[in-house]
Amino acid sequence: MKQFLILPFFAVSVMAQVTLDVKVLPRGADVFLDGKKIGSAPVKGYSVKPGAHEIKLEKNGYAPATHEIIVQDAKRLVADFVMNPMYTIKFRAKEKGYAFELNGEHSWRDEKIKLKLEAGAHRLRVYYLDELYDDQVIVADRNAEFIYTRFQPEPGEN
Amino acid sequence: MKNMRVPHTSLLVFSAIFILSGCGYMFAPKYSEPIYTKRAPLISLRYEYQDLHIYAPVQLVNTMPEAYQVYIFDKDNEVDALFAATYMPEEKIEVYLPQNTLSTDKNGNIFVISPQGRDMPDIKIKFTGKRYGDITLPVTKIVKTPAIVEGSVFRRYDDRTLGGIQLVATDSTGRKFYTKSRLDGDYRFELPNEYGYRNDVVVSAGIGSLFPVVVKDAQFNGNFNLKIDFPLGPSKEFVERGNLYIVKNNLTHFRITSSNGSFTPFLLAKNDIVAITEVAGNRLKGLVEIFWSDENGEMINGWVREQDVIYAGNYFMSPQDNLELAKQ
Repeated sequence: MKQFLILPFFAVSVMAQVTLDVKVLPRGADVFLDGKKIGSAPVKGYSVKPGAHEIKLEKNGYAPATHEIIVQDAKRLVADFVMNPMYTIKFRAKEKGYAFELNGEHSWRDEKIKLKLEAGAHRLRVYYLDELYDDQVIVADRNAEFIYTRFQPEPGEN
Repeated sequence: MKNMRVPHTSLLVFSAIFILSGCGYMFAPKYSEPIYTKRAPLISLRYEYQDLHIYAPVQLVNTMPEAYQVYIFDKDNEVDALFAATYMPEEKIEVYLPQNTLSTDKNGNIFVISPQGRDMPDIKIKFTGKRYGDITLPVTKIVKTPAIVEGSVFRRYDDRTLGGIQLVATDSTGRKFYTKSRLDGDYRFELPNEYGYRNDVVVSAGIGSLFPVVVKDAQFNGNFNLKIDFPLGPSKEFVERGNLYIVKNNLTHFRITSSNGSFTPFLLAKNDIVAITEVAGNRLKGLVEIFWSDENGEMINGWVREQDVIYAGNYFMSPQDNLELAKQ
């Protein structure tokens, strides 16, 4: 009788699976789902359970992207992403005494420096001898160089 | 000369570009980390949902409901239908629902077919749902007692049974049912049960044959078994009155004298029979036979043009049932 009592009782619940397609611009970005790499974009036909998931994308030259999605119970979910590119921005100060601050959290005093900036708007503050000299929003949309001087450039001078 | 080496052109070009273009940053420091905007990437999520397709085949035997009311219930709630619709009898009962509408529990759903009509109980089918895809329910068979019209088709002249005669039952909506008399002359219609309560059916016999078509009412009035016999063709008395001719076309004038333009009491129809008694040029005088009932009729005198009739010989008296002739 005892063996009957200890017979395991399985309640089998079959969780529905949703087919996940991930398409990313640019092609070839690494796609991670809940921390596990599931392939390089485009990823097609990956089975995922309905519920909350985290998709992370990585690609050289682009800002890594993380996105939380709530997968609904459907036949298929197609997720399209467009990653933001990174640009090389150079800053040059023609005189000494400048201090630069970007987005309120990155700062430097070098006369020449190269930065990797995600495409989009960034807030730039420039201090000269510790006094605010310039405050503006710069838009990174290509590789570029910013040159700072307190003097008006002579005609024909860069 | 052998040891002389000329720098490669591409190397020279590279060196020139390197020197001329911003080599001033060659020794510039790099900022320690990339700087992000922390904005979310552009994203669009597109869900594709699948349909649930339910097919409920219905097989009707001797019945023709006016319509079907169809409902789908969750087994735990037979009050609020998940789906309700009306289907016509000629339609397939197919239901399309969005994905995940049905319970996936075993027999967790109820499909109800409610045929509209007299003595039509509801049909309930329990079934197991799925997330999406096709579900075909078992065939629902609705069997009823047919409304029967049967009888015999025979030649009025000698009571000889006629096989292969086409009979058509037509209701007031124009719906038709077809049958043919067997070799022994008997025929049988099995009409849907609902006709047993109707009085709008007429049965025609002899269509497509050389016999004049005979039409009779089939009034069921709740009686599900009618017997209607069809004597076709002329009576023995009529046959003996003259040579028989068959009218070629509908709307043929049957005049009271041989003169053109004389009064036409009625028009003859195709396949009407005229027993010719006198001939005057291309005008033929004869009798037509009109039946008030299977046994009682009347013979009326009149004139037809020779070109409007064709000689029938002894077709209606022939000892053989020449059906090839009847099909002409």
